[in-house]
Amino acid sequence: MKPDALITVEGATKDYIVHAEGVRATLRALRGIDLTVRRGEVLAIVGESGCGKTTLSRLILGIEEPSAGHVSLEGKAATDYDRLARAALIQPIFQDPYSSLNPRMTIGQIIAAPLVVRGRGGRRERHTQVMDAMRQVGLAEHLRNAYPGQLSGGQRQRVAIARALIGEPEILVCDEPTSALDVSVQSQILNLIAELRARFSLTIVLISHNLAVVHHLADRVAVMYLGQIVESGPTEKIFASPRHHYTRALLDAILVPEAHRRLPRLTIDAEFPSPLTPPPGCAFHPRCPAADAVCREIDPPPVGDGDTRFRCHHPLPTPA
Amino acid sequence: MSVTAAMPTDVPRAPQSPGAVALRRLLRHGNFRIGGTILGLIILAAIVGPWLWPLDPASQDLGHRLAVPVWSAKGTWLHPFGTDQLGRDYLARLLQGARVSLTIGFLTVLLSGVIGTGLGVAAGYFGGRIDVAINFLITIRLTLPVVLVALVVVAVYGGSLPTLIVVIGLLLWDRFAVVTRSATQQLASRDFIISAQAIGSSIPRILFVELLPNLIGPLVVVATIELAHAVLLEAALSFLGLGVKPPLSSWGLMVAEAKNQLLFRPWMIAIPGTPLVALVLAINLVGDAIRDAVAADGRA
Ligand SMILES: Nc1ncnc2c1ncn2[C@@H]1O[C@H](COP(=O)(O)OP(=O)(O)O)[C@@H](O)[C@H]1O
Ligand SMILES: [Mg+2]
Repeated sequence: MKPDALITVEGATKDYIVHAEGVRATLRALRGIDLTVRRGEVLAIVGESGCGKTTLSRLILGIEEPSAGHVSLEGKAATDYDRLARAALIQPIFQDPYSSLNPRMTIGQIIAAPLVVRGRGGRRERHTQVMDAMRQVGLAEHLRNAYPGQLSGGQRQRVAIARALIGEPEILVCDEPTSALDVSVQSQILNLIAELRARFSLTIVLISHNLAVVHHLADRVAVMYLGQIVESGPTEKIFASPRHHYTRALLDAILVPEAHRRLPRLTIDAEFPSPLTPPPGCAFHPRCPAADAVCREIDPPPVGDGDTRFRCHHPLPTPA
Repeated sequence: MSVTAAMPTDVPRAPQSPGAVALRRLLRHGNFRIGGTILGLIILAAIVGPWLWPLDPASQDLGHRLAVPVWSAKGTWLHPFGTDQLGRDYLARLLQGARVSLTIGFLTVLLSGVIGTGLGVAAGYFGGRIDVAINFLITIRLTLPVVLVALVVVAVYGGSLPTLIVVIGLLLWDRFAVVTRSATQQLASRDFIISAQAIGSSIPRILFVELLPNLIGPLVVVATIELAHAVLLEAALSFLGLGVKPPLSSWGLMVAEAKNQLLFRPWMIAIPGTPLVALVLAINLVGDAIRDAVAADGRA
């Protein structure tokens, strides 16, 4: 463990038992993830839907245990924390604010819940804190008595953020926090997260399927493909000179209009493979323009130059 | 995109809990108005009836056995609904029967609701072996023929009111369990339950504060079904002589005691039979309306 590492993921694998057409099968959602998140940084995890981002976030949150490997927060296994200690350290923001707020509770009750659970403060103190939190995320005071059903998606996501921050955690894990929202609201929420990060010196794991979303916020980016991290490094480097062909494709995808956000330069017929039947060798080879015989046989190990690491037999060249 | 035009306004509607919204929808429902009125009248009769008509339902007026009701030629206001074979006032027995039916109905539903909801929520939330075990219990319960088991138990232990309540209550929890189990499974995968875990909520808090309020809709629907079920079961057991024991009264018992009079004094069957049918019908109408009001709840 590096001295400044707040979250450490070592060789984390996650298997799910699934029943596909009546047959029991093992679905390997994560295949040996190594990752460190340093105190105070924003790490973005990017990849297509189904590559295992949410699963990884659940391991980091300690909601689920890795099938193999370790996930630790401040050097202690994420699942070993007692519920209150972990809550004080790490909090989630979910993708769908229609699902993440209890429809039977008022906004005030939802935001106050972390304080109630910890038995912190009296009624009046909690009220003051809820009001503070609502102000900080830009929610009008009168919404305190409203129910989630009366709020817009953006407002709901602000409620979720207020709830996550009221207990003053150190880490925020945001799983696609804007992808369920109107385009017009997405940047507001991202700006809010950036603002709060600075104010509370938060450490953030920001998950997205869209590289464009993380560009301004992330210090480092980890690109995931089929349960592996295929490339990671500082944001500028990843954007300026990606080494992995998949990263290149994701970057190109940013440039095409929303309407067809499919990966453009990849082999035409190749779809995102099922984690039930991962391709042999490099998992990306069926879609890779540079794939050859070696890629079909041998899974490339992670190699690094400096602070960038990637898994590719035929990496893109670095600009001289 | 017209979405941008309809930007979320901050002007609040009056805060409306989803429960209040469903309740308003319920009160406008035709079936609820009809069923609710009938049910309300029967409940009212059960509560204030014996007080307005204070004749003892058990006292025998042997001089006036099998008196005819007031609307037939020889009827008198002394016994408006006539008397039975032992000269007991039929109206007083009817009112006491309402109390018995409703008491047994509500208490058994309470008992079976607590049992079934407890099992269903535990199975749905914890899953795994607990779910397997509880599913096994549900299966066993479903293989037992309700009427037969009730008959045997009551035959062995006698048909006191508490025995009846416990027996019926222990037999009617399966639907509560099945419904709450699947509803809980669906809710448990929603992010607000995971959020509740992430903020460090204790399990009782998750179950009682976060989960249970979201189960009220389906629970009330099942409760109405089982209420009707329990009322009919009590009537059936009493009719078979294995339910409420005389001198206590019950609508099923009144029908049973009058069954030999079917041809000559049909009102003796009709007087307890009509409110029994009306009660079950009213409960079903109310249940229907509640189902509609809850189903329209939507995603909020
Ligand atoms: N609880 C689960 N049971 C079975 N399979 C799962 C479960 N959770 C995730 N998966 C599978 O794991 C893979 C990764 O899922 P997920 O982590 O949700 O991906 P992402 O968030 O990147 O879209 C998917 O193939 C998904 O179907
Ligand atoms: Mg996801």
